[in-house]
Amino acid sequence: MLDAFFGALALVFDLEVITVIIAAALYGAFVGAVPGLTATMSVALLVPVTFFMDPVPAIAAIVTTTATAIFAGDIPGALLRIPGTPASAAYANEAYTMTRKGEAELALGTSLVTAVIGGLIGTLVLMAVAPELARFAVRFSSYEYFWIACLGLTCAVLISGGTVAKSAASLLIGLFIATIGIDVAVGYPRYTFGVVELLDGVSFIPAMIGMFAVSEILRNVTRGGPRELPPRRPMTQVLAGLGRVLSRYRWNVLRGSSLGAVVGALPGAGADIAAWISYTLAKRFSKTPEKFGTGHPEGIAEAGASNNAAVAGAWTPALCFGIPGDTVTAIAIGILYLKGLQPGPLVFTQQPDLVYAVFVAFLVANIVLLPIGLLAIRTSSYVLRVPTNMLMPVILVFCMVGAFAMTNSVFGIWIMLALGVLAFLMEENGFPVAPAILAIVLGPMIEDNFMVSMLKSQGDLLGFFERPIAAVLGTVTLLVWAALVARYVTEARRSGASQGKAAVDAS
Amino acid sequence: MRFDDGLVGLVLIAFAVAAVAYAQTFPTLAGMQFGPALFPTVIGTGLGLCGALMVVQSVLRRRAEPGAPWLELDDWAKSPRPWLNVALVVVVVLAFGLSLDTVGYHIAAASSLLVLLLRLQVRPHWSLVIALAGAGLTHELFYGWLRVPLPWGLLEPVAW
Repeated sequence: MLDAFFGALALVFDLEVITVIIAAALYGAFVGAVPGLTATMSVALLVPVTFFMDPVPAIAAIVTTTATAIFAGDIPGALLRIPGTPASAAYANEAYTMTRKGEAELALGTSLVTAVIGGLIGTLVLMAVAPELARFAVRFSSYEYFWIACLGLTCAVLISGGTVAKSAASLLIGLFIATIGIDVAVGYPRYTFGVVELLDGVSFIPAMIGMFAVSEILRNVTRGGPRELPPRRPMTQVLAGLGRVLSRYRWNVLRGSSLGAVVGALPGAGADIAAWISYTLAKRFSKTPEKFGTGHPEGIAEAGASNNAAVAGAWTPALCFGIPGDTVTAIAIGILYLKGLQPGPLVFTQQPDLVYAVFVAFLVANIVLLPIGLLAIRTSSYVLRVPTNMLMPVILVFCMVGAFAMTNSVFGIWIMLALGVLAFLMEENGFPVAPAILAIVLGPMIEDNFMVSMLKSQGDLLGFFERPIAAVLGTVTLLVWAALVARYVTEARRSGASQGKAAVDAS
Repeated sequence: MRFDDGLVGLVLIAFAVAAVAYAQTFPTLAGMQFGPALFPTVIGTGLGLCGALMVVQSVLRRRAEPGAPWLELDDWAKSPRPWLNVALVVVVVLAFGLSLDTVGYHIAAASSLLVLLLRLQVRPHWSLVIALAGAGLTHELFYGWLRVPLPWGLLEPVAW
């Protein structure tokens, strides 16, 4: 293990990789800080570039961009009460109230330093847990993989925040998109309608660019109008008085970090959900819950640590099982596939360097976050003035050339456009998009393992429960399905009780 | 822009029926009980079920509050301007894709940028600067650095 670790250090501490990390950190800080551009979008836009890199710098770029973007989302949250990424939404109001009280520096300093601590703790948890899980997962057969992928997707439906029917529909739409192309069993072209480019399936990266970037652009051009400008104030005292806050809330930071690492590992639940849970927990267990909402740093410290820990946590299932923990790792897995690397327990024995390179990249990314974050806070009043109406067309061109680059043909652009419009319509109608993304990534894996298992058991569904681990995973999956059915019944009752609109709105 | 859940549910059901019906035309190898149609059939059935569940929810809701709207428009969707913006983005992508090979990347990218920037009320001189710089820089990044074979089109004589 130490050999692999030092091997990974050598891989990451290379001039090219370090340059990539710093560039990615600056890029992530910028995209995260601009309201309307999410962390996932920043990664989707980065993909065409990382595609041409070696695996280690590519992963380092993705990891660093996410970590800095999630922090940088706090900046417009604190200064304008507009969270830069969904992960900052939980405490944007609190941070903004602190800014109104003249404590903007303290709010941003707290969220920066807790982000660094949370990110580092999350990485340590990942480093401790992932190899153990992988050792366990080596014994998995197609049955276990089928169930674990099902469980992952079911969790994504459970947590995604839409109504049960809509989240499940989103998942199935994703699975359907994944069936397009040559099938795994006999090589028959499905739903290609004679289009040669579809034989290989819907290209993953143009699909991601469409669903995350183009849909975001469409949403942005509907919400025109001038944005509020940040107050011009010198942000020089960011670290002043921080020691006191941190030592008072050290347990909050620790709890937020550990919870974030766990929540991030659940498929479909990412940094945003981790931050909401942590903020709620901080209030619940606070000695002074009445101060929450009045510009009190306690919740910021806990949730700020939590969302960055979740970024690392999401890599746990991604590395161990090849099952993405959130939308960003879904994209990352897609890239690894394209590079001929299959994430899963075997990576730990066959390419330990790569696994440890992910760990080291996380450590470096979170250390780099401190100076880059300070820089981002210092320059925030300029970054937040960059007009979105100038950015959107440029991003669109970037999307188009990126989609073209993936297929070396215009077809990538058509996929991007079709899925971008689909995602836009889905979100407008209350369908969460995350389950669809995870399903597009996991679809081939589920179908492979499903077909292999069916052949092994001769079509007997009981065969899926014969091995002990498979039986446990299968039972848990079925229990979660039962919970979903129960929730649907509650939802339906509620809509029958004339609170339909309220129920839909609340979701 | 939120359509009534029942309408969306019906669309899902129609799509699911078509997908499942089409899947039944997929061949199964001799001697096998199932083949390429199995997985799409399972997915399609699930999707149809979700659609049905949404229809049920909508019917229940309508029973409780008769006259609920079939289409709810958010504030932005009530004026035509944002709609034109959405349509324009789609048209620009279509035009870019269709003209890319003929006119080449520089012209396609710069004109896409110019049209959108002007539409989003960026001042004309800034629009022109961003359009030219944006096309040039993205070309440098993807063609020069990443070696993506972007077409030169009309600019073929000056290609490098």
